[in-house]
Amino acid sequence: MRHAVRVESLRVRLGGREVLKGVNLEVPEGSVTVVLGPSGVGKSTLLRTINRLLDLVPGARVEGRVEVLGLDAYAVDPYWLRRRVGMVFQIPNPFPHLSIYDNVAIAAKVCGVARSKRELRRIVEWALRKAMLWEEVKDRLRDPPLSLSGGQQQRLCLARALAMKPKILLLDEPTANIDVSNASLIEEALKRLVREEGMTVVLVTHMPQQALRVGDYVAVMYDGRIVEYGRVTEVASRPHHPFTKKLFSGAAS
Amino acid sequence: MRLSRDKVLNALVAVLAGVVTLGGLVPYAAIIASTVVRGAKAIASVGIIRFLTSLPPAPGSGELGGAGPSLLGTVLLTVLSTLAGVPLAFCLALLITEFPENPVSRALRALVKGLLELPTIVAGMVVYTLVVVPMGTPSILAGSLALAIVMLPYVTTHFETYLSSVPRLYREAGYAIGLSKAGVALRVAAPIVRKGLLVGVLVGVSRALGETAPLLFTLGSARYYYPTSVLGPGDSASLLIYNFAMMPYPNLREVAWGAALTILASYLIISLIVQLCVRGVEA
Repeated sequence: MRHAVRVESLRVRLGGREVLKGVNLEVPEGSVTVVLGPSGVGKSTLLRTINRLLDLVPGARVEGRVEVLGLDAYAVDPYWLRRRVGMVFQIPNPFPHLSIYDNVAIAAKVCGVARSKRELRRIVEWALRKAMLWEEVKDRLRDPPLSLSGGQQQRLCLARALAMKPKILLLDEPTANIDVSNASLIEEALKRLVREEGMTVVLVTHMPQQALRVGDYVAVMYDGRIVEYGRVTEVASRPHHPFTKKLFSGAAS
Repeated sequence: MRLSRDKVLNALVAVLAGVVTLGGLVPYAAIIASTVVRGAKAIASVGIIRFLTSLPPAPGSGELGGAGPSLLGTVLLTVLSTLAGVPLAFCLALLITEFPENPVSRALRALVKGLLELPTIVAGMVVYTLVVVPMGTPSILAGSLALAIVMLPYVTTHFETYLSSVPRLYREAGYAIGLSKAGVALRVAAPIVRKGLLVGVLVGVSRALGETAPLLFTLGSARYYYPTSVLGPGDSASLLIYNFAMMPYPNLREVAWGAALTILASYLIISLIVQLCVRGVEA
């Protein structure tokens, strides 16, 4: 099996505090890998090493190896890396100064995936369709994004990430701040992206139910370590670590 | 019982606050009122167009006149100093906000804060030494440079405040789509706070309109003829007010009042324009 992301003995210190204490993780290509755990265990930090967004945090120290698409993430140009890895954040953050259309188009432009205006329009439509937002915004592409609901804004952010035509998509608690129906739209979109586009998805969440719904693989994180890893169905039905047992017994009830 | 005591207290505080506010506004109202009344009289007695274009009268001649060369000088000084100061302030603010940990940008931030406290006459002296002496003459260019130095820290501080107020989540979004540091600054942070940046520019323009001290050694006082080059001496409305207000000739003091009203009106017009722009941007 090929791996889109491979993390080896990853240790991260943030301002002297050890947040990741030796993480090993392999993300198989063309699947959804869920990083599951309560808040504050280092899930977001782990995610931010994959596209090196952690570089922006002053005082962050990274040890170990992160391999993305077969390349050492910490040896390549971080801007090059980020253009190949899409990311959606916990709080919807469409650019408030750009229209709905331009929010998606800017990502395609920066990444140089469109050679002409027509191609750009095609990519924007494709991304909005894939993010399950097209029907709702196709007649108001010039409107500001803040005229959308929070859930629509989050799908717009998904479309923005998709417009880069990334091989890997990172999502940091993408549904934590939006309502259930929007959350299920995003989950559906992720499953289709994997199935139809062969995309690799890494989803950080604190909700075991979400892992069960969209995940192929799950890595359960606790206190800076991955305490359990495997196929979601197996981990949920036969958890070994006491923390995982607690997590999924809560999910079942 | 208790309620009524609160009511009395509320009323008392409201009255007190009202009285103090009104009292504090009196001096400002007096300044504006006297400028409007006396300035309008001075301008009306020669006509607006003539006041804006003609030369000042000869001292003690009893005739009336305008402030044409000085007003043109103020326009030139404002434009040139804004052109020099604002882009530099923008670059400095970007450096300070985008590289907050960098020793160079820390030093620059300290320098900018220090420059805020600089007596503006010192800016004039520096430019006198570095520009006026080598050129052999005071000039509009030298005056503009002095004004640019004075406005720089104010505009930079404004820009910096607005740029650093851009929430981190938008910057992260910018980096996540592969934008460089410069890309995030110019395509995300700056456009998000463009209204604030516009206000920063206005702060600079206002400084340039009103400052007097930096021009004392640098501009010359060519108020009886129109400047032919920015490399030669000129005058400004503020310098004219400063000089003519101290003159024992009533006809010159009239011109000073007229110039004061012209500057006041310019402030008003500029802030109206900015208000309109800001509203346009918001929609």
